[in-house]
Amino acid sequence: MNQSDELQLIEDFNNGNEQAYNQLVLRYKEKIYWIVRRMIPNHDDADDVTQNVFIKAYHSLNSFKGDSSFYTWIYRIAINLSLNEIRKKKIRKTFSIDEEVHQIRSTDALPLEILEKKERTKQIREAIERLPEKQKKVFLLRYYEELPYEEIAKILKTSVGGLKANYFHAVKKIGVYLKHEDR
Amino acid sequence: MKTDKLHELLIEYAEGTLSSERKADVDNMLVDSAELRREVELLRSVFHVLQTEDEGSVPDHYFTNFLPRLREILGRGEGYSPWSLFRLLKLLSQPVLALMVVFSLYGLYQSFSPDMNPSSIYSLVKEFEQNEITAIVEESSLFTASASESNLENRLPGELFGIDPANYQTENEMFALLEEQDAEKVVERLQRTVTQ
Repeated sequence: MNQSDELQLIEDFNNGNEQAYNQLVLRYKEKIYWIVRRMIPNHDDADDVTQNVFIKAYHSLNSFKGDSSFYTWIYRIAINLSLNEIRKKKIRKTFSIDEEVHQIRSTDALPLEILEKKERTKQIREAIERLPEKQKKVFLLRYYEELPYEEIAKILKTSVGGLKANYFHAVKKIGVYLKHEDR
Repeated sequence: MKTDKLHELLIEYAEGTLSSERKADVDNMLVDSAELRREVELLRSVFHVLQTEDEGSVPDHYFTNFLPRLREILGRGEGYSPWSLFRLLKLLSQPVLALMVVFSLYGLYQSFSPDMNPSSIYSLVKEFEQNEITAIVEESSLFTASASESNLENRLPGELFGIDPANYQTENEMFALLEEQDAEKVVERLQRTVTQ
């Protein structure tokens, strides 16, 4: 599906064709879920936010002007709602406590290699959680979504030069945090 | 070299995505700078660790069931959702609160201030019996003549209310025949006297 197909689907939806919206959901549900999940590690919370992203998109699609692509538009919604959720629930604290307890209980019987991987994953998520908001957004979009800087610049409405610096510093900060955790 | 260009170069070098020509350029830079070598080492270690990351699990059939669940929520909402309802309530809460404060203050003002509105006084006056009106008028200092004087013209000067007493035989007759317009004149005059 290319950009003009998406524009056609949006137009169809705005003309009352509900099936057109289903096509957009099917196309982006996984991508949106994972970008939300990387910001909100708990599945249930990530699921709520993902649903809200598509509900908001459903109700706002008539205001979509086509200045950017649909995925740029919906990614922006996903990132903003995820950050709102983090602020609202202070997930950082919940994550560090709940996930730790959950991991200790559920991983007792796992082999050492898997335990190490889970521990490493937890550290990576903590490191990303601790990044400043802008660097976190840039890192998620660049590393996990593999978006070109030009596309990220459209989503975050910022300059490409600034993004490169943000990404560089985000990776460095994650490195410093992981190094510190290793000691 | 510009800083953002250098950042991009070092990141791509650490990721291993640079062309061989540009990689050789960075290798030369690294030979000359211990600081750059440390930075590249740190970046490489991050990308290495990130590759070992466990993405996290998702319940079975989560993505298959996503659209039906979403459709159910949208169907329940029929044009609005709990999310938009919450947002609507949030948007309305401040103006509603402001209106409540304004109405409360107005209510307080109303309960403590006397109602001097002519129409309110007039409606009260209308409820009075003719003799009660007469009693009020007689008590008023507007009337200079004594009660013993029976001459209506003397007791109720014509210029006082713009009413010609010559048209009436008695006070009671006059008040009985007073039109609304005349009664308003009486009320206005009483009001002016009170405020003087």
